[in-house]
Amino acid sequence: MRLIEDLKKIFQEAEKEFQEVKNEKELQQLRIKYLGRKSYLSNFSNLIKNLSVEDKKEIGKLYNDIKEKLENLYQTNRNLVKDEKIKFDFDDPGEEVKIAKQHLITQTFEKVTRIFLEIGFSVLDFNQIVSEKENFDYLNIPVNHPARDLWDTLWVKNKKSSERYLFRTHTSCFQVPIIKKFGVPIRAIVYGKVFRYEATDRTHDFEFLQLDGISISEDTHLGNLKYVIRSFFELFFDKEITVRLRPGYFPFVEPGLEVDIGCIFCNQKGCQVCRDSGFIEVAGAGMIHPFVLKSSGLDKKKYQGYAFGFGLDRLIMLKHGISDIRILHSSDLRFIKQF
Amino acid sequence: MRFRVKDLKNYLPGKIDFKKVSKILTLKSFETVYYPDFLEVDILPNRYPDSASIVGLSKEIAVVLNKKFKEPSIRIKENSKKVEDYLKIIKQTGECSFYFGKVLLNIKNQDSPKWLKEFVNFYGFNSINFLVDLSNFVMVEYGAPLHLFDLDKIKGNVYVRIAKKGEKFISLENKVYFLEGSEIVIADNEKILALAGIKGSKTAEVTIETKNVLLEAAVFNAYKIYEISRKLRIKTEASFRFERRVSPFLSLKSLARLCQLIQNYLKAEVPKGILGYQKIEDKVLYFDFKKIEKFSGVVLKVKEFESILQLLSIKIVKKDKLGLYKLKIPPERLDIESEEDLVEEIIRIYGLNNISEKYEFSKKEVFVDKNLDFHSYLRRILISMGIDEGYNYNFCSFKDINYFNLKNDVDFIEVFNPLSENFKYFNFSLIPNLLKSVYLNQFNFSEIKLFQIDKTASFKNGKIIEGYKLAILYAYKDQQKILKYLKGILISLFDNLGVNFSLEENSFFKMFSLSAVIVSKEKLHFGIFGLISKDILKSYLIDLNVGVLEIDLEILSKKAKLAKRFMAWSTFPSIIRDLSFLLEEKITFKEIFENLLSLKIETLQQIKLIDVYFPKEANLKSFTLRLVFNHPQRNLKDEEVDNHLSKISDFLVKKFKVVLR
Repeated sequence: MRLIEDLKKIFQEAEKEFQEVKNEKELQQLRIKYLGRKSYLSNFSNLIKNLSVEDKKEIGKLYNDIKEKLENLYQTNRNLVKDEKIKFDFDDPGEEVKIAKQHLITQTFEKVTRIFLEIGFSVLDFNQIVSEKENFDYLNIPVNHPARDLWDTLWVKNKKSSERYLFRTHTSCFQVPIIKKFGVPIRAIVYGKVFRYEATDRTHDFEFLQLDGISISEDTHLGNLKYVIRSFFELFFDKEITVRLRPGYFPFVEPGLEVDIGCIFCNQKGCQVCRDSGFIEVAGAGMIHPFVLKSSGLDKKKYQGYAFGFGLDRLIMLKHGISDIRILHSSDLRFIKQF
Repeated sequence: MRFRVKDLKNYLPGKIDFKKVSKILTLKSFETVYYPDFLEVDILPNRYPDSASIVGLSKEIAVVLNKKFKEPSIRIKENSKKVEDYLKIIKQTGECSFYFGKVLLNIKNQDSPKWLKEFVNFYGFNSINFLVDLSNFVMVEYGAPLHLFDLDKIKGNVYVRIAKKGEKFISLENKVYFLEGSEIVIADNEKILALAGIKGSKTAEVTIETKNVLLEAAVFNAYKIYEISRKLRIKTEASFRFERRVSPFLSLKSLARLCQLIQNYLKAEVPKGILGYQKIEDKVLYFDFKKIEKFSGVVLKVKEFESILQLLSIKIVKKDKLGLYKLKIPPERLDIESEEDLVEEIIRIYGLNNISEKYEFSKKEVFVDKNLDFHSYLRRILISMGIDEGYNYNFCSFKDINYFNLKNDVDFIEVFNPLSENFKYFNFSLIPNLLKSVYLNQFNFSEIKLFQIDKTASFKNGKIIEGYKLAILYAYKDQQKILKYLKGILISLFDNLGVNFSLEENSFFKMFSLSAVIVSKEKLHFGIFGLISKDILKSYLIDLNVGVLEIDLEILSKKAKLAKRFMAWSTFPSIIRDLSFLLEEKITFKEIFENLLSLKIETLQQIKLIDVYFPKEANLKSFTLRLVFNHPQRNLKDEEVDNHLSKISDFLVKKFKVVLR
């Protein structure tokens, strides 16, 4: 029968070719030729569909035999094929693979978020354009109070509305609205851009970053604040940190505190960064002023808490050795790609 | 404020190491820098009334060092005449809470001696004459501003009143101001003698010839002085101090001190009594001893607490067994008004650094704002796609706004007092500033991929609406590649978020040479997609071609499905067939897609457009479709798929008159 002849012939050819296989590529070509979807063998069922049952039986056995042998041949050869000698100079520059980078500022935001979640604070978001009340009045900074001089304000050009709006001068403006929204007890931070009517130079920009936090309950006190501040700075700088508190004045806290940390560069021995003082001023803090509690609708006899605020730019610049804030606030890829 | 060490020494007997003083002051009171001859002290604004003076600071130093403080004794020899016989002071406004006056006669005014000249110069004043210099001396010594009028130049009585609208005030420098009618002034029967709390007038100026003076020690409404000083743009040492409040107690003391000095140095006669004299009430506060621990965690012994009160000259009037105190506060301490203020005093003297840390539990579950969380998710995806994250200002110029005034229907937010023309508007779109980033980077990079997520805002019906946007920008030379890349980003991004969208071409955005709106199934506008026109690129000095995507995240975040469910795939192999054909340009893939679906071929699992190009022939385009066939329960046969394929081809030829290739 011709079909039997063909099968045998194909097997002989295959056997011969498999013996001569030199590499993996040739082996795969043989596999496709003899065992693939379009091979003679795979089309075999079509060829035998008109044969008698007995013939089918006989030829079927041979077919199965040969197919198995071919499979074996393929498998055996697969085991025999060895790695070829490939030349590669390990000094080769490699293909240029570019890594896309998240901006250092949002990397820091995410780090700060993780840290504060770990020490038990919610991370919230707040408007950048706020009312004069939110930014000043609620925080015990009334009109014509000299404390307003501490914040040179960028104002929104009015649109007939009776209330004046401004570009927030500090993230502290989140305090009263957030307490009103979420109630107490509360532990929360907000971070982001703040804006000032201020000239720009190496260390100042009219847009910069702040972080503000509050904790209020029936018994939250300054000892808790000290714990939170030290924990944050230790996790942020990944270092043991000494915290030093000094009296400070912010209209929305009482007592008011300035927070210094032991200089992270000289271990308090005195260096250029800390101007030989051994300490770096990093934050303002204090117990939330009764006026602010009242603005938030809280009874000062029942609730108390602390607030703190940092300039985030300075922390980033200290940590990464950036001396010009304008580079930090840019989209210069030479900068972005470094972090 | 700077203080000469030798001036402080006059009030602090005994040997004092001022270098040490500066360190202790920094920790307990005010940040202080030590210089060999003087201290530079950053007096906190709320402590200005009591501490921004030599006497005040000396007292503070005595408290923190637990040393003695020596106050000058003030004695005046008054004659038997009554001060009221010389003139009357008539207070006609509530903006002045105290107005004390004293008259001094037959003064022998002269040039100041060397010591006084040096003193006033160091503290920031020009030496004028002995009388004026002495009044500045006392202001620095006690902290309360005083004013001297030449008594002989005053016509009639002295009035403390609100200015009339249009009234003229001539300053000591001969500058003329026309007043608005809200200013507090000191006037006689005819003219204004001084802008209260801010500046004197030429009218009753004290000169070297002055023989008789009216000496003023007053307290004005701090807010009012702040307002007037800003409005008229006159800032003086006096106005600066009045804004930060002046203690009436110190004001009265300064009045006596100045009388004493004038009498000592310039032989004045002093009629008895004080014009406008009022008794200054004691300030009494109730204090709960437990408040210290409650507020700071510091556990003080009663004895320690009481000795700190003593240091601060706070007198215990009464106390009970529960630790409730009635306390008398020194009258010059205007900053102590509540229990909280007292806690501050106690713990700063005790030592803020003696507060011990205490771990605090969160009493509620904590969470991250949903938007911020969504932005982090987007950032991770975009970074993984190989796009760098940019950072820009939230403000832009009129030029930027004008170019990107998308449909001339946006009510932009303008800055009332912009820093410069470049930062006159709050961003409505992130695109203008991202284009500036292309300019910044094009000299170092030939291909720029940037994204940014930030706030944008505009007015809507008079209300400010803020929201986050995401802009993605690709700058490269090949326009086709830019469009294909951004389209690819758009598909992958929305696919990952489980959001359906389509692009509707339109041309009303004037910054684009080609653009489309990204719309949802419900026709919500997610944002825009387009190629920046050459004109705009030129104006931003950009040499590359630039394509952008901008998406409103307030809308996208509501549609995004971030809680994903696992989808199982078929365990049987799929058969893939590609089909290329030419068709009329106006036929969209969407039409073809929907029509193929209507054929209801169950095993046709996917229809994807994998290539589009425009052959030279007019009005024709070429599509290559990838058709994926799969049966979830069995292997498909080639001939089944071939049958479907010929059915599809026939259908396309018949329905859309396509030419198979």
